[in-house]
Amino acid sequence: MARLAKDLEAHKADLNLTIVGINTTLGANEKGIRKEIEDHKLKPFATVHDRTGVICGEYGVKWKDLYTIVVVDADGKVLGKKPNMDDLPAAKGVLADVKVPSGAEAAARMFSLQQFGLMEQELVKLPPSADLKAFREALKKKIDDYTSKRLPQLTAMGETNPLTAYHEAAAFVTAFPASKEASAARSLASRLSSKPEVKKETEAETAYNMVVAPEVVKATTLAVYDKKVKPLLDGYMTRYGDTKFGGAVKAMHEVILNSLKGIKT
Amino acid sequence: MRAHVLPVLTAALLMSAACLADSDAPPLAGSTWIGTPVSLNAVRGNTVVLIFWNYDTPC
Repeated sequence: MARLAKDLEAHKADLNLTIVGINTTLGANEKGIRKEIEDHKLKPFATVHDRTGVICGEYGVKWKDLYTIVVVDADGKVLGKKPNMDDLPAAKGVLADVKVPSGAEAAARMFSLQQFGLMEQELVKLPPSADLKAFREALKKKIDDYTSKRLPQLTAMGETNPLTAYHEAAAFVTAFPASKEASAARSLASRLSSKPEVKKETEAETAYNMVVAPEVVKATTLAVYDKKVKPLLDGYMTRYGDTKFGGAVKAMHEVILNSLKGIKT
Repeated sequence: MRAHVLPVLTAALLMSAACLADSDAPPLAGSTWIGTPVSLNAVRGNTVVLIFWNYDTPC
């Protein structure tokens, strides 16, 4: 991760940049990821565990690319992969219209990374002042503006793409637990989770992680895979093969099988 | 699990992944977040860098 550390150091004060880590180790657990983050100083930005390879698939990231950077521009468009964080596109920045008081740069950076708990930790270190008060109010207004606009978007998304809306609503509640929209977002997530298409997808994920995944981690040879994993997988696919998650599992296991057979993919 | 198998698992959908250049960034739908979950929608206005890494990424 030396390259990553160098990249991060070069951009640690960039308020117009948001970084998100995506851990792609399927056999990993949260404790292990936290340890890696600590060991390699992959913070203070957030990391999401791409447990199933779905994010990798959607962004076209290959497993052989052990360290991949994908850049998204200020309008939310994917610009593609880059070898490093040099020559990033210019952005106006989410805080372009906010005056950052001297000493509050770290708090502003945490806002840019959407790490609001860390932002608060930085803000409370600062001596009270009129500038700081105005800065706090500006940040709060930005968060309030976002949450008030986001809830109707999530509600509309629930009609057209309930599974994504469910995940986004759940993430919204975690990110903005104190917002006035949190309760409605929680209700929305709950309502969406009971929709048959969402329920079956979440069940498919839970079942895979509880039943199949523990055996996959132990299957280091084809013989063990055939004996321990295949029967479980066959049963799993019978029940969940028609889900989006089941489709990802099927593709994933084809790659695992080829790997165990020594076939390069 | 063998180290070389781990990254292979992440290839679930890569076979069919289309080039996403200039398309809307898909949401980061993950159930496990270390830190506050980030919605790409919330950071419109910033450049966003997504860093994909795994345990086998060389140190």
